[in-house]
Amino acid sequence: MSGFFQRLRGWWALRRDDAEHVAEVEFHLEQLTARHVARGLSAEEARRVARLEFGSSVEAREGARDARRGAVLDDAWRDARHAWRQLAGQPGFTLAVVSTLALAIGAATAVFSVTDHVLLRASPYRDASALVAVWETDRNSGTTREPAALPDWRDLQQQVRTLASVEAAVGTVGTVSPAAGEPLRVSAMAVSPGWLPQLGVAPLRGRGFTAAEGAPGGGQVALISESMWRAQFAAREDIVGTTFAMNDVTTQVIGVMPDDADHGLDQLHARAAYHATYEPTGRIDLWVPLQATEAELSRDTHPLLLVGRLAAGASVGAAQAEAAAVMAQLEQRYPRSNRMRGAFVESLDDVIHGPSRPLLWSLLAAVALLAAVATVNVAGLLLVRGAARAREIALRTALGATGARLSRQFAVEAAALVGLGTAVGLGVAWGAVRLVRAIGPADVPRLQEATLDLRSVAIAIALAGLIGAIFSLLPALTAGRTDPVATLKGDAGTTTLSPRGLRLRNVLVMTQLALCVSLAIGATLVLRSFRAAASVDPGFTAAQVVKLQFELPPSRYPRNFAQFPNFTEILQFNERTLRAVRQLPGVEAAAIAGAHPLDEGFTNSWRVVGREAEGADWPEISVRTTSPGYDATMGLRLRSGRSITEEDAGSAPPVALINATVARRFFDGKEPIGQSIAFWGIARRIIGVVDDERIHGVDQVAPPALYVPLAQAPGSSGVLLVRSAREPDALLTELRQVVASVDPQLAVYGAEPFTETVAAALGQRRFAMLVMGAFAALTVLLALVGVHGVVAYGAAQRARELGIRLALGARPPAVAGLVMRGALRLSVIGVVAGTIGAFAGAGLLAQLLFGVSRHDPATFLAIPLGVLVVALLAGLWPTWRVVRSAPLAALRGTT
Amino acid sequence: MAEKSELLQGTLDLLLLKILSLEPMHGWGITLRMEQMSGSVLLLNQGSLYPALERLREKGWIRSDWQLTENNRRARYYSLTAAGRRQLAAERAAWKRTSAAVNAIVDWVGVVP
Repeated sequence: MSGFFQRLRGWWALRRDDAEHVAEVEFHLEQLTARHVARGLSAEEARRVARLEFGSSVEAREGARDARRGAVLDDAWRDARHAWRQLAGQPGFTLAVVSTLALAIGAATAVFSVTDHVLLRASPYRDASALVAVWETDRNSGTTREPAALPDWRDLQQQVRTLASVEAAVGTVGTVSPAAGEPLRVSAMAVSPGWLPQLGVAPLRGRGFTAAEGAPGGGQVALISESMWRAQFAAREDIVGTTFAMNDVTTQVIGVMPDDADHGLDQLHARAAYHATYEPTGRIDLWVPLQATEAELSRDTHPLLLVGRLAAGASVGAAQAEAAAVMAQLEQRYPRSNRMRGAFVESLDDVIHGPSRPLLWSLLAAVALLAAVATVNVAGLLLVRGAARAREIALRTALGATGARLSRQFAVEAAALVGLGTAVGLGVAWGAVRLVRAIGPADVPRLQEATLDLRSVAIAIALAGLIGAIFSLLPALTAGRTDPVATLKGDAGTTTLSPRGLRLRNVLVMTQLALCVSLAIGATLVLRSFRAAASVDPGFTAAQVVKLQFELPPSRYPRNFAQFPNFTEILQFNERTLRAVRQLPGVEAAAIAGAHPLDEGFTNSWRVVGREAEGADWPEISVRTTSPGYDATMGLRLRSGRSITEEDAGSAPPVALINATVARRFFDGKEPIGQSIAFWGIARRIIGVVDDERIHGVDQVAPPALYVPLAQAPGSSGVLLVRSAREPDALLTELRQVVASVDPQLAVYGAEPFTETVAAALGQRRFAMLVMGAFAALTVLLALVGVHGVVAYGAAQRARELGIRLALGARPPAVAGLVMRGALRLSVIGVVAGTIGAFAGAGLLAQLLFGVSRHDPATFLAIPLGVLVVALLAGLWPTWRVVRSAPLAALRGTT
Repeated sequence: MAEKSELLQGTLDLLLLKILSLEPMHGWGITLRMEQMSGSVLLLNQGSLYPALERLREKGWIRSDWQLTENNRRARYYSLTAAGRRQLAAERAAWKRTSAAVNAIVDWVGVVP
């Protein structure tokens, strides 16, 4: 037993001292050699004799040890211990490598993880590739994605053979009033009975809608989402058959839908050129049957989102052609309602992912550049370190270590580095995914589901494997075989890269600079786009405005169109609310509008009275309904005429404001004020012209729009807009209280400072800017470290020569220039290559750009120059250090 | 040049302990010191020096640490531990007894009693 422990102890001690022993012997050899030289041998001969004198006995010892132990475990353990000692012994190097790798692997894994969840994951829908969105088009307005009219849908459903089915849905909002607690506003979809079966999503509990329920008078039934079932109904098993109040109407629960049954519906809504009373809340919580008749929904109104499934073997193109043919027949048969109308069929996947795809692919490209630069950077570090260890390797080779043994040892070290980097990188990725979910744009589907799962971990490991493989190629690329004699002949204490190693290092640094310039240019273009978008004058002033939205349920706020516009309950609500809000302290202005300035609202066909024939080909106009005070609240500028006042009541003559676009495009320099516009069968006198509000988004041009007094066109959807210098949260709390005092049962939503609404509208741009900016900054940093390393190394190599030059009277700046010349050449080549790459690849970013050319000359000039300058500065620093200390080094004879 | 002698088996430990008791020393220095002190008679086999040092270290008689030489090179210096000093005293006493005994035999000039 004691013998065993003895052995174990000896084994341990040997492991610990292996590297130290090599260094010790090296020292001894040097001294021995020096002594032989002093005795008159040539340096060469002295070294040979010293090695002979020493070598044989040590070799014998190593041999003895290997014979004594020689187990595989022993070797593996030795390599691991050795790797650990090597890495722990150079904490700076290890830290640099591990953190760089962690950064690269972490960022890449996080971006993959997000892209995977958003773009690559299989859709929850059955055979999703056969699903298509079916839109109507309007050649008049150039609209290609307009929802369909109900009769048109029926015709398409019956006549288009290439579509096995076409189902319809309308987004809406519902107020759910639980027995206890505040009323809850949820997003809801009214769907045709075949909608859910067509998509292939089945209820978790209960059943779907029957055909009878999809007909008018089919009963008040609803499916609820799994989340709502859990949150509002405590996940009770007997949920099916229970009832709750939806929009004040008793509704029976017939089943529970999985949460992902609404996959892509927010995106479908967002692409549609219309406004339903729908606002995405991130999840559809209620599914109700679509119970509409042609009497209610004629060919003139277009509320239905259509999704179809391609018949077996049919292509999107065939369905498009057939749907267009059917629509052409309808246009012939119904020349009034279907004039200029056609069909547009596209893959549902394109609808869902179209907007976010360019963003995510750009991010993937950016993170790939970052990972490449990081890998290159670490490769550079390993190269120099490899050179620094050349003497150790040579010595070990001289002492009899086999090549296989050494390669194995370096492989273990590389694996340890990459392994550590991956472990830390997974931590980085975990944090990064959470960060992305927190700051990511709201309009990216399934972003909130992104997590670091096994697929992501697998990708991280695959990436680590790739990086490890690249590293393991390094020695082969640089040296092939180390010549121990040549290496040992070198000066003690210096490290020398082989010429091939040097060349490779230079190539690596050029590559780094090229990649970082490309990424920096891309990031700058995205940044400039964001700033361009953010600095556009949207026509309104968001600062110091808060908004709060509501939906007045028809049960308590009926709209009796026979009495239009005197919807008493709605008018009273608006009036009482506004009066109370305007009395709150610190409120400068307040208004209620049908839609806030970044809500597209709805459009309508229209005519200028007296020029009816001209108007046939005009696009629809955006109809805005506002109470008096809207212009003061939103900072909307009046160009001419007057704005809407309290005088413009329901009983007063109908009036309207037009925006500058309408005045410019349809009045052609003639005075619009005093003329009349007709829509909904009512002629309205134009009383003023206002600036354009960018209601399609601050980065989209303003459409033609007109503003109608709210009292003359009251609606169910409303937004309360309040201008005040007060702190928004406190103000919003009071506003909620005001609304509750007017109607305690009314659910409010979207309560936020309007600056946040604007920011959210720019969310995708902001996100792209932040992420690409961060990646670009990191790559620039890494590239600078690379340049610094190369120059510092080159300068150190030439220290003695430089010292002599200086000692002979060369001026320091001239000597520094000598060193910098190489760095300059490297940097210029790298930067130029990166600029060319960015020029060629800028098309990738096309869809993220706004207000800036993809080949923006300023960016393509400033960024490469800037990177060049900082790269040279990064090189100048070590150069200067060496130049200052070189004379001393030369005199001392050490380097 | 003086005639060289091989070290007597078992005496290397004693010599190393003695040399290190004078001052901490690296392996190369030990070689030089041994040459110098023995008047270049005793030559240290390089191959046995480091294993011997390792052995002494494992027994806890000496310890090693890395220091800079006068030429600013890093070298591993060995120094005696307290246990090493006791061991030196013991081995020295043993050596004196043994060598006296050996001398007594080798130098015997009288008649075998």
